[in-house]
Amino acid sequence: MIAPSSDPRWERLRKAVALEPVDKVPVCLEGVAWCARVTGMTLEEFLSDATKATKANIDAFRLVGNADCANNPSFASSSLNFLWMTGVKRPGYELGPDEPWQVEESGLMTPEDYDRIIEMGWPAFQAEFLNERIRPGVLDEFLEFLGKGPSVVEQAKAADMPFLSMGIIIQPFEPLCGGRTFTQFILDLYRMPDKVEQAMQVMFPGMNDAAIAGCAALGSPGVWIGGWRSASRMLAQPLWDRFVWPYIKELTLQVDAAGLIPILHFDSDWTRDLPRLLELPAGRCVLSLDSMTDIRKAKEILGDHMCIMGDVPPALLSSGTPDQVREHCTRLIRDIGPTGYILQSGCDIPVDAPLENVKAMADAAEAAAG
Amino acid sequence: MDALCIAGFLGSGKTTILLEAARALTDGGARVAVIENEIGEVGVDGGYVREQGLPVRELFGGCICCTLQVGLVETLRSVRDSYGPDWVVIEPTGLAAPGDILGLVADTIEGLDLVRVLTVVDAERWSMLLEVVEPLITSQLESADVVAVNKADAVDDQQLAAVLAAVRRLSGDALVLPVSAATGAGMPALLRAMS
Repeated sequence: MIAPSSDPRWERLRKAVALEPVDKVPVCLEGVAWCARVTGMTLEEFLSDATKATKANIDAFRLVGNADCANNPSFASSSLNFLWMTGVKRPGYELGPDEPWQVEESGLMTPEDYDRIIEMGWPAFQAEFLNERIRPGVLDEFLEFLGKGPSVVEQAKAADMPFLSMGIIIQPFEPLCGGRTFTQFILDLYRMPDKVEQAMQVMFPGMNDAAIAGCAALGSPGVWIGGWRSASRMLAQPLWDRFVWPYIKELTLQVDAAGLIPILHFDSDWTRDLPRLLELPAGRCVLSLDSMTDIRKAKEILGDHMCIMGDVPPALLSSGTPDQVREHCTRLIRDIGPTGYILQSGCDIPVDAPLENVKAMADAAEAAAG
Repeated sequence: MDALCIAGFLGSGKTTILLEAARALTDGGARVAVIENEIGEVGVDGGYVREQGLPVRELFGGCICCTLQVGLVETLRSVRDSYGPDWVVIEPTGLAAPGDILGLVADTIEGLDLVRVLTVVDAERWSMLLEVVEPLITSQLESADVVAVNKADAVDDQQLAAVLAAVRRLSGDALVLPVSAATGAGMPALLRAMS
């Protein structure tokens, strides 16, 4: 959670989450690769060290000038291996030094692995899977990145850059879907739903305990709860009700109980199931949208219940003009804010977004505040 | 420049139909470029299409969501400026709804005259896919101009009739045609409908 603060930026963020009136809609920057590109750091260098990634975030935050916070202060590509159980092509290794990293979903997990998860438990299976099927040493890389958490926090604090989250947690659907590939995974849900559910029930207890405890220990205000392939757009209602929602709900309650803000980072279209979010604690969660969910419908349904964050379309930030960005953001602030709203890009700021467009986003919030 | 967007769930036969469509356009004298917007099984389709002699641009994303849209806009512009095609054939990821892409393309690409959407449906896996990923399948049908019910030869007449009826119900005014990309049955009618 965010404590009351004399810093107006923290105070805005606290009030936005608590659905209290704000003097200005807070602006959050989320764009790891963009931070590197806009500050002249190659993506290879950005990923080489958590300290460098944090420096790029800080420098980009300063370039924009009037944003209130960054979403995550650092980043490592090994986190994608860990979250999705997929390979990742990296700049400087499988790609050119400044090419954006690419998730490589190639079905490294087999149907027999459900039984192995049930027998071994998730932590042992995951460790073996990461090192043997994705890349030897990838788990150590990720743990090394996590170990730098305290210095990342200190770096951000020293630079006076507020941030919202130091971690990403997930429900079992996402790594199983990534490991199997979406196509194969939905076949599994059709052919062997009970086996998949059994594996999920083995995975889930304790799956995110260390990440939640780590974020709390680091003083992170919140934790991301990621939703990508488990979106309402993807799955038939009965399957979503069985394989997605119970885990998201429980995870959100766990994060809230730990005193952290659950930041529901939901990519793709979740419009169908927005009413279900009313089951989550009021005035304590953030719903972060990527421009595919109907954000105005989200405001209508959830506006009195949870803070909404987003959702300036990435394509607009990349290809639009500053005037177009400013106009779009002004409409968002009018329709979704000012109370209970954090202005942000829909998912990441694209790597090639001009600085002027991101500045226009932040300027729109200033202008709307008068 | 006109665009043909070929949507459909992963494994429905999009790439095979894309090649046939591109070949038909090329045979008619048009310059054709292909954009593969892939998630998962990265690079497979793009490599295969390239082997067939068509210029291909592949899109990848660091994230599995928004960056793909951005890449599509930039790649369309690049293809338009560098190759000057009469037609650009876009194969979005099987997880995309063409409606999402169409709005983006229409709003941001200058010089684009026509965007047509062909959605490919897998007759053999129709019931299963509808039971599991019904919202995704529905969203892929909603904005279709033409729907190809592929693998029509792999189901019996009764099953095919049921699939065609269900697809017609979900796809509004779209023209729905049974085809077999594997045998070529129905393909001439499909290609005529698209052009």
